[in-house]
Amino acid sequence: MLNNLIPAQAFELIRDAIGRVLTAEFANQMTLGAAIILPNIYLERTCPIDKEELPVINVIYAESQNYDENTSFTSIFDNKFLIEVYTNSPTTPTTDGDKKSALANVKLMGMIRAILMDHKNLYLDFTDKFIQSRKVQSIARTQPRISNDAENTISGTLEVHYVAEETTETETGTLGILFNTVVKLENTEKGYKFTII
Amino acid sequence: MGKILDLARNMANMILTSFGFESDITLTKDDLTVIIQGLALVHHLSFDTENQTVNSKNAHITVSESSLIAVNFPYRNAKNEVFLRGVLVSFEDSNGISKTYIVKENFADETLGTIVLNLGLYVE
Repeated sequence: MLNNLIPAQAFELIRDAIGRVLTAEFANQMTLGAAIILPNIYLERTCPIDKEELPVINVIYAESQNYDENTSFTSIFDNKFLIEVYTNSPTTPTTDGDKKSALANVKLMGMIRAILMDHKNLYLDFTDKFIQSRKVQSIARTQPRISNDAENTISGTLEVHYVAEETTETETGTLGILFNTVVKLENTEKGYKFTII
Repeated sequence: MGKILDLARNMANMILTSFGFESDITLTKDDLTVIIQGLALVHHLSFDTENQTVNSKNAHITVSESSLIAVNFPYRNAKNEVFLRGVLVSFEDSNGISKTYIVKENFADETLGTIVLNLGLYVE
């Protein structure tokens, strides 16, 4: 029998940290003057998203593949996460709504890529360097299957991979102090949402 | 013209303009603004992507060509095709709240003389 509580696995810690880092970085980008609407960032949301909540970012754990270097206690996993981005926009006298929504969607996906691939965020907000590498595997716009959406909803997905050591030991992934802001993961009526305290 | 076809066209026009389900619809194109009667519908729409579902909105109106002709609203282009994309549309919902939309698509039934206009949200 194991005589200790099983701690959160690396892929759980990484998934949550992706959400925290994105929340803190987007808030900071707004402070710096980014010309975007601040997105609502959710964790593992499966409840349908309402148009009034957009833009929304949803961080989802997808899968882990046994990558290499198995030992008696550890193995290296390639963990895949999906980061979904949803935007919408009305038409204005100067811009068509569908175009504006698409541009906002691509803009947010580009910012997410830049945030996660910045060398400052290699270890996300952990001081323990158990993350070995990360990469953005793909960025893809999903094509709308309908044209009669008055809100001009657009979605897209980033596939990101984090290679990390998985262990049965009590690896807790101590939080670092990389950000001036503190991010809280709270349980809302729509699911778990990252917010700035 | 067949009498039944003529009757159907008149019925379609009547259903859209005076059957009891009609709404007052304001159309604006450039400096021209007119008010006509037609069916105005706004309802839920599930935006289905390969990801999560987004609960969105569908808004569309159905008007008769006769209504547009009666107020001299230009609804055909130089090639004499029905073209209303870009026209601003506003009407009140069940609570009397008026919203403005822009025509994204027009589908003309040139047999009955009716036009369905798919709408998108519009803000000044």
